[in-house]
Amino acid sequence: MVTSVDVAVIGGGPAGQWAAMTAAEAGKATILIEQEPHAGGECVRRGTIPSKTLREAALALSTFKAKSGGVVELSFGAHLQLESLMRRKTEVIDAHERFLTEQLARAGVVTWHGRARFVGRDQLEIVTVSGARRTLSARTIVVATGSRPRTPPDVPIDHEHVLDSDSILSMTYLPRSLAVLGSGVIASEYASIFQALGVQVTMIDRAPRPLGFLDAELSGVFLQDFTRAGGVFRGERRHTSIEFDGVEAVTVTLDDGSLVRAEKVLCSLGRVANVAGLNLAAAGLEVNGRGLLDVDRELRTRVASIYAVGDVIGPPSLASTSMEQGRRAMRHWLGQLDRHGAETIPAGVFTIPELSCIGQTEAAARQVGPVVVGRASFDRLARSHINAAPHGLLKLVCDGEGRQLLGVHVAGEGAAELVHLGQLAMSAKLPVDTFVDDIFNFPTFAEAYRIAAMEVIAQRRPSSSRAA
Amino acid sequence: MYPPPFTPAEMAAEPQALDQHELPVLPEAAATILAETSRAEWSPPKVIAALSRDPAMAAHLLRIANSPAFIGAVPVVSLQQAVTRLGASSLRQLAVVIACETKAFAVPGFEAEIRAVFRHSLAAGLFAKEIARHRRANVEEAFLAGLLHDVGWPVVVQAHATRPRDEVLTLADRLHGRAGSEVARAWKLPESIARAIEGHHATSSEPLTLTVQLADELARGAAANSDGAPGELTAALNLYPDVVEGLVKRGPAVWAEAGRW
Repeated sequence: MVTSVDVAVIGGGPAGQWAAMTAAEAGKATILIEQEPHAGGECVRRGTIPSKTLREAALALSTFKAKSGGVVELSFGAHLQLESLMRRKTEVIDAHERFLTEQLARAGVVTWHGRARFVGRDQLEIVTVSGARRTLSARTIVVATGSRPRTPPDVPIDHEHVLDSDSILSMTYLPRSLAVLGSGVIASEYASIFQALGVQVTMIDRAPRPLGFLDAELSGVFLQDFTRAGGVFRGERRHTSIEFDGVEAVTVTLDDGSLVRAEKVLCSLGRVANVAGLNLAAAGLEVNGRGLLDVDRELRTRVASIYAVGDVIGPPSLASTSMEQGRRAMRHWLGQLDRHGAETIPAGVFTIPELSCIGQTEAAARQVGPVVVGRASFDRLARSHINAAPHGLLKLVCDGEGRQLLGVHVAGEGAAELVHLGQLAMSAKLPVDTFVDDIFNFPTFAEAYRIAAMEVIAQRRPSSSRAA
Repeated sequence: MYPPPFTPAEMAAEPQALDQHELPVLPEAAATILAETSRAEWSPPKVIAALSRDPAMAAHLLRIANSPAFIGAVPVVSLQQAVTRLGASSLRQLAVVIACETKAFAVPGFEAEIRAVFRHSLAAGLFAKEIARHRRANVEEAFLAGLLHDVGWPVVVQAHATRPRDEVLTLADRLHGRAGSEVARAWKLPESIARAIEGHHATSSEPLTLTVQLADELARGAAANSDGAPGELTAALNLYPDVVEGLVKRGPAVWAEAGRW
């Protein structure tokens, strides 16, 4: 028996959920196929949510002493059980999954648990975990199968001594030391979390600085805090061999001949798209040289009725971007115009300290024309000192006139929330003066906007300031 | 395969699993290894010294350390080399493996059954490792839980050895889960492992318990050279048919491996 629907979405991560909800809310019969038993995918269970829960524990423990003014001493030994730091994770995951399931059901999305493969351009075969098969035919199909950690051939990942980002949280105990291969978002997040928990962390990467896609000042703040906490960054280096050599240590040999010894190794050298079981050829699709699906501006693959969204089309592998892609693809298919462009999507990096940005970096903006930059160091904010978190930066990148925002970059406590104010200002095309004219609560981190905006305004040429 | 565990009423009427019976004591060397390697700053010389006082155990360790499951190309020939090469987590696993095989569990008249239980247990431990790798769960924990899931069986046999043979075997089948969990707790293994042992014949939704249950079935299948796997368990662990097929295919190799130890 063949089930027929308007829209079939393969993959229940952020991209797939938003595609499915957008279609269903427009009245289209929509089925979402997810290989894991719960909406949100296994990444919710072993990735995002547990790691953010662990991060909160790390933050609380590492800042407790500072925030209490040194009144309370706090110490915990090496080999602390990792699970004990994530006790809350089950509640968090359950609450999140309940919310996702309700949200999908409310929108009218039907969820199937199984794996999908193409048998034609508009037809899928679904295999359940018990091996049962059914066929689904759809007017349009959205591929949102996501990605998984890449396993480089020369990294012996055994999920016991050498782990990847899917297995790192299965460690029973906090190791004494950890070598992290890579310096992207996931590598940097785990590196700073484990460093904050007292693990001796060494990051190793080809790039000269971590988080290279961010504004250089943001990755600078990250690196400064990471090294101040005791972490080591070995930039412009590659591993030449990785060996578990016995007494609880893995030896990573670098291309300059030096050795990094660590109890565990986390390999976080990129992600690969999940396309293996999809049987793309049956739909007339194939992956590009990087193993990704190519799409046009509207997120259509070369088969017009098949869209691809999220990690399966490549970086930045951020939930926010994936959600927007899922939504935009379906709005395009529904024929609904969309004023939003990709540049209005923020990026949040949950390192310690938190980093977040929207729009252009200073370097990218300068390639196009003159820019005016305003900064607010968090040590100028009363709130930062109250919170014992004086390290941070808010940076506004404005056009040459010093009026319109081109980019907002934030490092420090609350960065991922703080960036949304700048996002709204950019979206509404408000002049930077708004941050000075409108009064924010005191004492808050949002004050940083006023300080940075004043710095921008102070740099305006006399002729342009009269124009206001 | 086993009869269901006792109901509470039956339990009250039946002799307790370990009625006035001492739990098996770990051989001193194994106890030292477990205690020593669970410390952050463990000392290889102490472990080597403990092993040197127990030549039978040392020989055993070298033999197992040279099995393909533990070590790669270069053979281990000295205790020093074994201890430094294996590292703390492998040593912990080995200490438990060896403890399971020593005379602590020997019961005259039941040698063949107990040998069979331990071969099955080793196979289950190896399968549990593979399942944990697939699920990106903790590999060491899964191995120990699989390895020890039937450790209560010889303990119950020992405790009731004076009864008629049929009665002893029935009791062992029925009570070994609970007895095994008591052994795990007495050996100060993580509570998650004790729970998985206790519940390996009961209905459970805990991933580690489900992993042990599946490993148990796979090991049984490997021994019987059958190629099926219980669908309910694999579905509960969200293992798709291709993954299950891969596990089942490893059966003969795992069974042979378990026989070598």
